[in-house]
Amino acid sequence: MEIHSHDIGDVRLLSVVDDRIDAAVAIAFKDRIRALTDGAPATVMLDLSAVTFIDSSGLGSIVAAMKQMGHGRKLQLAGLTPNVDRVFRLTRMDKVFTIHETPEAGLQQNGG
Amino acid sequence: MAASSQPWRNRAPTRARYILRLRLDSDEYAIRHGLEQIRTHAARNGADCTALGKIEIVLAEVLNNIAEHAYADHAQVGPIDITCTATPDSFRFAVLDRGAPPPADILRPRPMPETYHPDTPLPEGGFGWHLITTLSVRLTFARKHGCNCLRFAVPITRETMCPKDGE
Repeated sequence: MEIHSHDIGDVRLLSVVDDRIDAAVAIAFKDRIRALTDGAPATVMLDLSAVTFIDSSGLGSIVAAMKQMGHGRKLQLAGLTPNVDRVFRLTRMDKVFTIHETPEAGLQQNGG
Repeated sequence: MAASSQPWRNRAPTRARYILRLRLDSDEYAIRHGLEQIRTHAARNGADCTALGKIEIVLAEVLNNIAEHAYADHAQVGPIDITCTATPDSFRFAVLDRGAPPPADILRPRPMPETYHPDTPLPEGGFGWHLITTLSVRLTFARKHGCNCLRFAVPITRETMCPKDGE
């Protein structure tokens, strides 16, 4: 599971390189996010613009990643493609996460 | 002309064009590959990006459920048979497995809460059946001769440009 990590201002930007977050990779994804958010700034932004497909296990692993970060730290999302956006909307998870149109817009809103 | 004097010769391949039959193992990577074949079949039969996205998520959730629940007690993977039929208004699916029977209330709708209360822990699962029941129609289940058979259809839309096509 390839995820690139960059600290930009007060935000850690995690860019998912793989195009699918599904049952085949959900556990590896969760473990990788856990490692990459360790010692991260208060705001972590997950850039999903390369991801064209997510299933319920993938969604569960993003929710789990957010819960692992604990109180006082935020996991924001950016760049949801249509199929990923649909899954977030239908499960109402779009109300739970702060979602930015693009990572650039998200960084700007976070004062970066 | 041989072809026009024997029109039935042309019928079989035309008919087969609308129907795809697949057998795959209940393994996550075999499921990925199966989804790819279904996508290709649906695209060839005129499904647009939205329809392809809906078909893929519904089928992925159905197949993951079989792998995780129906074949949960199997030491190895089990077979899954999928028939996908393209009709003018929908893609119809029949999905068969030889695993354990599901709970009797398998088709019960499992709606998501309108909002999640900040004081209660967020769910990390239970989304799959909600996605299946929301995006499919004519969902039926039958247990016959030791097989689970789930049938459903995904209504299709056509010729909507993919959001990124025009860029």
